Amino acid sequence: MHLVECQDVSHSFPGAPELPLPDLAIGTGERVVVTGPSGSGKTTLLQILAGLLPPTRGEVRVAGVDWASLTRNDRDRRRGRTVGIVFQSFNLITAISVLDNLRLARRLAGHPQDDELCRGLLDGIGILDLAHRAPARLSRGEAQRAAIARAVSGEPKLLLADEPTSALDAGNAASVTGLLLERAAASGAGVIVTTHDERIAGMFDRRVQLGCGP
Amino acid sequence: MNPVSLAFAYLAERPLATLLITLLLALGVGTISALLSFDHQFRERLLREARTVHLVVGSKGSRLQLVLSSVLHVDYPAGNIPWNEAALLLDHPAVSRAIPVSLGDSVGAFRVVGTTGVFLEAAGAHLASGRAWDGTFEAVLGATAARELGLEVDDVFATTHGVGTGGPEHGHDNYTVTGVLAPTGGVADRLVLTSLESIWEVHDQPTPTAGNGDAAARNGGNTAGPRARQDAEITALLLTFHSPVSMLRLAPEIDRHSAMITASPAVEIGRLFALLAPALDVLRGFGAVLMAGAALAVFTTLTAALELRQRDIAILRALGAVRTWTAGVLLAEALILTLAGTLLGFALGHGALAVIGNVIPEAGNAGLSGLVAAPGEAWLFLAALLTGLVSAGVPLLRASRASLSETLARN
Repeated sequence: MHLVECQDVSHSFPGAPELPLPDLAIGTGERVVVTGPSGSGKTTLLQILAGLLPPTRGEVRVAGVDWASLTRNDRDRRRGRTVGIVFQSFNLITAISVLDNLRLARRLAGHPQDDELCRGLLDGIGILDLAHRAPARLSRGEAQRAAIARAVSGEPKLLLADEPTSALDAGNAASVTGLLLERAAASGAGVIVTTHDERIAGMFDRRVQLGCGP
Repeated sequence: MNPVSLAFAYLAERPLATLLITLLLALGVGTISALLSFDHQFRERLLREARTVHLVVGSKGSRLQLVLSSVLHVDYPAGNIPWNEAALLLDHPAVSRAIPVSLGDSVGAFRVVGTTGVFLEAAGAHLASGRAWDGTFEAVLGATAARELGLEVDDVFATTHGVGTGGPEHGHDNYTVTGVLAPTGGVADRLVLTSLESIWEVHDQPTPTAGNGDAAARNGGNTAGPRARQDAEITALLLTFHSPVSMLRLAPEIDRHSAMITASPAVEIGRLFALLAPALDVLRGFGAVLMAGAALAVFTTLTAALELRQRDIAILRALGAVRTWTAGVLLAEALILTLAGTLLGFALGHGALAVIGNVIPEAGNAGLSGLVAAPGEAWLFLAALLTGLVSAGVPLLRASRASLSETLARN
């Protein structure tokens, strides 16, 4: 059984032509990069894989379960327990500290509180000294690291990252991608990263190229 | 990290908005709670006095004024009645209790009442310290009067002529405090009580001549029983009857065949309610409009604040939060704000009544207190909580209908 299976999937946004997405079969622990120009459907593919957006057509299975077969509540619960997401805009909860963001994600993933693990993640990613800082007071690079730490804190089977290096220079892009892959490897999670950044494409096991968007 | 702790974090993140919503709600709840409590106390106070005194006998003039001045101690007495005429009623077989009341002097903002020991019994008053008066120029102070005048047992003080402040003094330190009453929650708390003889002597009325055994025995013996005298006067006589029928028989007789008139507190207070009804209705209408305005303001402000949570609700769902979890965050935030605002409002409303009761002597004399809750305030509390819950309902509904991917993509 593959970790991710995607068959005959396409999506239509209102007023736009149907956007076909490639069939995928991604194994446990596999590291895949999805590249393509803007508008080619990279973010849409990631949202469909995360169960955040129901596709207009086709079937998407993650860890053996079709998202479409679940109720809204079950889909949200299962996402928390199987998928870690690094959003392009980080989407950290601004009212609580970096460490609390990790604690929250871990709790919603159904795991008991483990401050040692959370602090270890922050330490491993080089921002332990920022554990009690509010997300609004982080630099973009620091927020990106915090978002990665939060995504892996729930010990997901699948880690999805949307353009994680879009605002970084070459050196930092490679460093952040390295951290992402390292954390995923440490927890045995499969990784799918979307990017149009050719600098990091070579760091993955496999590349999926999306065509020009509509 | 749970929905409640996250709700607290959201409130702490926007301290100014949190403070403004809390204050907005507190002002609305405070005003309405003060109105409700005032209305309730006003009615209760008047009705309680009406229950303990069946008939007031006083000088000819306004019956309402007689009740207000002699029973509630909130108006000026119109005049006096001859003691020898009033004293006849002390022994009347239909009368179960008779309390003579002689007004006209003050200590600061507090009225001096010349009376008998029966007054204490009727008011349900007990001595917190010292003893009752036992002769002329001895006084027992109500709890509030003693506290605000700073007087204790064995202290001496002077009275001034007139009901209210600013009258000429009756000599220097002519009275001695023999006792201080425990708080009664009634008008006795703000009175300075002494014997009738003290009032007579201060006003240079003829010295008492002989004892009236029956009256003295009926009215508490030596401590309280006034001695009969020929031309002394009192302000009013407060009567309680064995039966309403005997009162209905006696009252017209007094009105027709004496220089005195009678007033029934129940009737006069009923008349007062009728006179005040339009004003109280306007006050209640004002309260209702205020409450609706406050509810609307809190609803829109709280809804706007909770709308800001749409993005975070989407993030929480993306992280695995189920519907009850996200709803819990919004409801907890709304309830914490509403509870804080409502409790602060009750504190402000009752605090304001307590201040008014202490600062305005008439309000204090009427027994206005900050510690009395009106039954309507329970509904006010529920209405405020409901406003909070409904305010959370709109953003909740929107969040449940919003597309997760679109909300996340907007940010």
